[in-house]
Amino acid sequence: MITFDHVNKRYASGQDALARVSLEIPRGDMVFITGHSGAGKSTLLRLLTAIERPTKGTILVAGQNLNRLRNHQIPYYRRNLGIVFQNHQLLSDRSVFDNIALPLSVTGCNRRETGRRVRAALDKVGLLHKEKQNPMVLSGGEQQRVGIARAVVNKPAILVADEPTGNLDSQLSREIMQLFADFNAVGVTVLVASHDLELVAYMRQRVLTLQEGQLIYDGVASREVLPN
Amino acid sequence: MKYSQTRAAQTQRRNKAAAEKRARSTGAVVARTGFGDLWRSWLGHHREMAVESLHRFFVTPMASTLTALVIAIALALPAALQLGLLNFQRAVAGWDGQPQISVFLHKDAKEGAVRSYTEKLREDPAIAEVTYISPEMALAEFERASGLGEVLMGLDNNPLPAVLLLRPRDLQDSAKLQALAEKLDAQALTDSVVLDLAWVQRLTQLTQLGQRLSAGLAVLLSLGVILIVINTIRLHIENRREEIRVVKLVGGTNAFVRRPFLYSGLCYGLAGGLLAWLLLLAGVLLLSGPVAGLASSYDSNYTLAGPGLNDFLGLTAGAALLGLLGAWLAATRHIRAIEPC
Repeated sequence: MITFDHVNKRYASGQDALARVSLEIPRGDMVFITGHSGAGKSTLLRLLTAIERPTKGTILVAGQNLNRLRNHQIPYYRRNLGIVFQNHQLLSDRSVFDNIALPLSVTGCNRRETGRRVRAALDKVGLLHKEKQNPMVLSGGEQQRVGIARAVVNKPAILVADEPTGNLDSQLSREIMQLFADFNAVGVTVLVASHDLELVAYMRQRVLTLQEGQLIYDGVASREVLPN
Repeated sequence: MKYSQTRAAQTQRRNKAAAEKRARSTGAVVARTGFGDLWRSWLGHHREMAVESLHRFFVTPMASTLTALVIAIALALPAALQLGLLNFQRAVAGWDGQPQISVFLHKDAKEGAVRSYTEKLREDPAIAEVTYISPEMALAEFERASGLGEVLMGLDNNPLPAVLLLRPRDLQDSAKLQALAEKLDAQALTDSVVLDLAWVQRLTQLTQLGQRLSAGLAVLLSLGVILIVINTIRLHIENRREEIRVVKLVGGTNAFVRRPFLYSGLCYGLAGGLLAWLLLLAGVLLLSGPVAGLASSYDSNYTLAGPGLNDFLGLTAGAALLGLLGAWLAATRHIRAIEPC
């Protein structure tokens, strides 16, 4: 589903954020990306979501070469991704419902279908009763659930999350991770960047570890084998 | 036989539909939307954005009104100049733009000599038309046009001479006209010749100057309006930076992101145009009293023409276009600058 082939990303400062990274993520996998801050996790996700382009190497997503993607095609490519942010990026000037409906409104979904899908997404994250509230009055965990609902409302093939549990306690973090595992169970390819090694080990899934822009570990992690 | 066949086909169809349904419900399927839906939603989004932009305009009434007022003043200036010119042209409309030669004859010229002189001039190929105005006719017209009839009554005899009004055939060549005037002046019967060419020319040139001036001013101030809208929309975009980022990340195209700002620009333009028209109307109402007074003192029933429906349509449509253009320029430039592209 996702292939990185000798991908390099060098910023204008001359620093290599990613160096010759090659990886393969099959359809329906759930993969964690770990590493210290500045190791290249965010860069990898920015390349995957076409926010940035690689300096060298190719990235294939669902058979599509991102290097060949023209600027005007990028929005259509992103509609096949669900993106979850650390600070959830909810808009405070509209209700929970309208926040979740945003990816549907950009694709031009009709009102009835929008209502149906938004409620289905809210139901999955367990917040069906909060659709009319403003996201700012919700707790941190609830806000992140709304962010996840927004990411999955479009039924994306790939779900990408950048530090989704960054500001949550361990109990809430595990609940959020379980939510991702649920989506993975119905066939969504899930990619989660996290620096919380304990949580990653708890999930017992494939882990990619980055260090100074290089891929240094690829395998199923348990607490013992993870580099500290 | 037939029945069972239909039945079998029905079952088959049902099975197929069920299989499709199963396939759709399992796993991740890229969300697809029909073409008709897309069209309806596109229209719906336009309507939504139009209403939202109008709403945003009135959420900050003070700031919005000030912006619209600046636009209005910038547009009202050239429009007022244009309207002033129009009124000036109406005021001098009595003088048709044709140059005319007035030949004032000697007061003691014999009537027979005058008649034969007129006939001679009628045969001159350089002259298109000759009108003879006797001293009595001249007096009657003067009384009627000037309103000074009572003053003339006090005079013993008619002080006005007979006049021949000549319409030259060649109107463009002022040197030829000048030569004709000189030739007429040399005649024994002629007292003096007035070629009102210069006055007419000056009037047209003055009007042309005014028109050029107002056109130049209109271009400059339209540019100013575009810059005002660009700056206002740039601030709007800056205020909604986060929202734009999120919309882009969930797959919103640049056109989608741009839409509300285009409607905002349109709102500013329309409001500015409307206010400009109201300013013009107020100006004309303010001046119409004094102008009417002045006109009546000259025994004229001239009234100031106000801005009409055409001015209203032109101003609002022009202002709306300028607003749209400014918003488009600002949105295209500044939305592209917001990451991600």
